[in-house]
Amino acid sequence: MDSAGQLRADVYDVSISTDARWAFVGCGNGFVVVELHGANGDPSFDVVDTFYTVWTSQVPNPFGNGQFYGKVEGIAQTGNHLFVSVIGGPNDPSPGLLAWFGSIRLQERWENVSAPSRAGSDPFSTCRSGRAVPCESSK
Amino acid sequence: MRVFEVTGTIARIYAASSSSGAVLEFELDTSGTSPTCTLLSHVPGGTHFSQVSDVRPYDVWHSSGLPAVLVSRYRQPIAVLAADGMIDLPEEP
Repeated sequence: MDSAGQLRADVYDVSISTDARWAFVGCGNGFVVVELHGANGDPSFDVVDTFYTVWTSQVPNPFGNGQFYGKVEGIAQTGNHLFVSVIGGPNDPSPGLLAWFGSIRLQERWENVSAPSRAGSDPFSTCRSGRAVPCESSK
Repeated sequence: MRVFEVTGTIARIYAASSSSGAVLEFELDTSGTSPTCTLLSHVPGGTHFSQVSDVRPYDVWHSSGLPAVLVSRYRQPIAVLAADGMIDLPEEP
C-alpha cells in the first residue's frame, strides 16, 4: 500500500474525512492517508502520505514521538483533528493503550503534529493539543 | 475508535483496544484559540489473554440523550461511556 513497502498489510481501522475526500487507514505499524478523489472530483485512491509507529532510516515519517513500536488499533478524524490509538511498544510490554492527537490540514498536505499520551501501565494524565505547522520539511 | 460531535466545538473520542481491552475517553475542545484534548475516562485492559479480546465500540444512545459508546468483550457489555464522562461497568456474569 505504501510506496516504501514498509507498512504491514493488516488494516485495523478506517476513518473518512467529513468532506469524503480523504481516508485514513490504520494498519499494523502505521497509517496511510488516501485521497479518495481529487479537487476536480475524479476518483483518485492515491496514497498521499504514510506514517509509521517507529522511526528508522527505512521507515521515515513517524507520528507521535517515534519511540514506540506499537500496533495501530484505531484511527478517527473530526474537523481538522486526527486521533490515532496504538498499543504496545519496546518499553511498554504491558497492553497499554496510547493515543496520539494531531492537527491535520485537509485542504493541502496534512501535517504530522502530535503529542503522545498513554494509558495502561503508567498513570495517564492529559492529552496535549497539537498545532498546525508548515509542511515543507517532509514534503 | 469513534468520534461524537457533542456540540459545534466539543467532541468526544473513544478508543478501544481489541488487544488489551483498554478503553480511553477523550474530550476535544476547540472553542478557544488553541484546541485542548483531555482524558476523561480510562477502562484498564485485562491482564490475561482470556480477558483481552474482542473489545469494540458500538454507537448507541445513552438514556440522557447524549452520545455514548457500548464496549463489549466476548460479546458481553463491559462499559458504557456516555458524553457526560460517566462510566457504567456492569457486574461480571
